[in-house]
Amino acid sequence: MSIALVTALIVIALLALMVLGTPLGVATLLVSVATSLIYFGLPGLFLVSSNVYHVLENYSLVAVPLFVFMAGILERSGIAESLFDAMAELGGSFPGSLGIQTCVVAVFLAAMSGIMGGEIVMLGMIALPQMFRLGYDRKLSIGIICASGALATLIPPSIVMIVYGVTANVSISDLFLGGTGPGLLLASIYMLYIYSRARMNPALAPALPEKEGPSGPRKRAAIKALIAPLFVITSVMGTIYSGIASVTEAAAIGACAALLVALLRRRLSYGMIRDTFRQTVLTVGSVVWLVLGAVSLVGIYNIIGGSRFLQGVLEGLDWHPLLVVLLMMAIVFVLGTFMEWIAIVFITVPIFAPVVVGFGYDPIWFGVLFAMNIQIYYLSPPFGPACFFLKSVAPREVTLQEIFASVWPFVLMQIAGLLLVLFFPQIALFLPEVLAK
Amino acid sequence: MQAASLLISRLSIAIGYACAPLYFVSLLVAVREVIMRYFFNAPSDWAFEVTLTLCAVAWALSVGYVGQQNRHIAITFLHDLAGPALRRVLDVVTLVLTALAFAALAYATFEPALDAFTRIERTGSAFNPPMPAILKPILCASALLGVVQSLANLVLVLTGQTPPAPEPEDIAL
Repeated sequence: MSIALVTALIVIALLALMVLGTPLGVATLLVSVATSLIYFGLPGLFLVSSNVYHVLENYSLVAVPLFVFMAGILERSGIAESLFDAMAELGGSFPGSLGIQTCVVAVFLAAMSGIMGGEIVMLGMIALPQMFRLGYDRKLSIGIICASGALATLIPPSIVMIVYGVTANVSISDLFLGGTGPGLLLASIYMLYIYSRARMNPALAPALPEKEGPSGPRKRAAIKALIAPLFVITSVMGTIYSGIASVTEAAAIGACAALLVALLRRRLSYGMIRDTFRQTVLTVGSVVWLVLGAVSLVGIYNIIGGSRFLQGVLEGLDWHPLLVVLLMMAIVFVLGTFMEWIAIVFITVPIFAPVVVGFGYDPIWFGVLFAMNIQIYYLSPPFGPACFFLKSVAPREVTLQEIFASVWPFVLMQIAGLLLVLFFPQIALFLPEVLAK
Repeated sequence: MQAASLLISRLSIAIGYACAPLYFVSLLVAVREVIMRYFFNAPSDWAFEVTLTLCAVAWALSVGYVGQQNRHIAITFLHDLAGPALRRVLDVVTLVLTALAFAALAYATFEPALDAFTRIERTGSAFNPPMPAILKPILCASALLGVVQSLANLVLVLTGQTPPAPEPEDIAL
C-alpha cells in the first residue's frame, strides 16, 4: 500500500471516529494502534507504548497545570473586576471608551494568564453586561469580547506558545517574546476599529455618564488597583527574563503571586484552593489524554514514513516558500473547523516545522504565525470555542448565531494581522532579537 | 452491575480528587527550588524530577475522573442533533471504542511496566530516582482505569442512568 493511500485512510478513519463523537484522544489512539498493528503486528504496540510514555517526561508541559491553576485563582480573586473599574476611571469617557478599555483590560488579563477560555469567560461576565447596559451595539460588544479575549494566545504567558514550543522543540521564552509584538499590534487594530466606528456613529458605543464629585480620590484608587495585576505580571515575566527561573518555575511563582493577591483581597479559603485544584485536574486531565493520543499517532505516522512523505510533497510543490507557509496556515485553519487546537498543534507541527526551517525561516516566526492562526480558529464558526465560552456566560438572550454573526469583522482583522506578520517577520522577531543581544 | 458502576465512578472521583494535592506539592517544590537556588545558591538535584513525576502521575491517573465527568474532548454536533434513540446508540458506540482504545494501551504498556517495575528502572541522572519504575506502571494502571470507567459509563447509559453532572466549574483552555 502506498503511503499516500495510508495517509488518506488515516484521515478518513479519524474523521469517521470524530463525527461519531469519539473523544479526540481516543480516536487518535485507536488509529495509531490500528496502524501499528497493521504495519508491525503485536510488537508494534510497544511503539505506541513508548511514544505515549515520553509525553509524561516532558518538563515544559508541567507549566500547563500550574498556569491553569493560576488562572483559576485569579478568576476567583475578583481581580478582573477591579481592573475593569480602574480602567474605566483612568481611561476617561468618550464614544467607544468602554470598548477600548475592555481591550486594555484584556491585554492585562492576557499578560497575567495564558488561558484563552478563562479570559473570555471573565470578560464576558464583567464587560459584556456593562456594555449592554450602556447601550452599546450588541454585535460590536460581543465581537470585542471574543477578539480581545483571544489575545491571550499571543500575549505571554500563552499556553499555545508552550504547546508549540514543546512540539517544535524551540525556546518557549523566545516564543513568548515573539508573540508580544503581534499581540499588541492586534490589540491596537481592535482599538482603532472601535474608535473609528464610534466616531462615525456615536450611538453604537455611547460614552459613560459623568460621575459626581471630585475625581482625584477615584483616580488614586484606580491607580492603586493596578498594583496587583502588575505584581502578578512581573512575578511571571520578571522571573523568566531576568533568568531567575524556567518557564515552568515561573508558572509556579505566578501561581503563588495569584494566591497572595487572592489572600489580600480576602477571597482565599481552603475550599477555594481545593476546588481550583480539582478543576485543574479535570481540565489538564482531558488535555493530557488528547496529547497522548496525538503524540502516539504522529509517532507511528513518522515511523511508517508518513511525515517524510508529506514533507516531500510540501517541499516539492515548486511554489514560493511563503506560499507553502500560507498553505500550511490554510491546512491548520481547515483542521480547526473540526479539531481541538492542542491536537492540531501536536499533529501538524512535527510535520510542518522541519519544512519551514528547511526553507531557512525562523521557527519562532512560524510559531507566532501558528498562534495567530489558532486565534482565528478560536473565533471561527462552526466550532469557534470563543463563541461557545461566551455563550456559556452571556445573558440568556444572546444566541450562538448572534455571536457568530458578530465576530467576523474581528476575524478579518486577525487575518490582516497574520498577513502583516507573514510579510513583515520583524513584527514578531524584533523583541526576541533585541533582547537576545 | 449498576451498583458496581456507581462504585467505580466513586473510585474514579476519589482518585481524581487525590490528584489535586499532587499538583499542589509540585507547585511548592518548584517554588522552593527557585528560592533555594536564587537566594541561597543551593540548587537541589531532585526538584526537577520530583515535580515531573508528581505531575505525570496526576496527568495519567486523572483519566477516570475525566471519563466519569464526561470531559474527554470530543465533537458533539452529531450527538446534539440526534434524537434520544440515536443518541443512545452513539453513546454506546463511542464508549465501546473508548474502552477498546484504553484496553489496547493497557496491553501495550503492560510488559514495559512490569519490566520497569521489577528492574526498578531509574532515570540515570545525578539524583537517579526510580521515575520509570513509578510512571510506567502508573500509565498501565491508568489505561486500565480508563477501560473500567468507560465500561461503567456504558452500563449507566444502558440502564438509562445519566452520569452525574460535572461538579466544579469549567476552566476552558
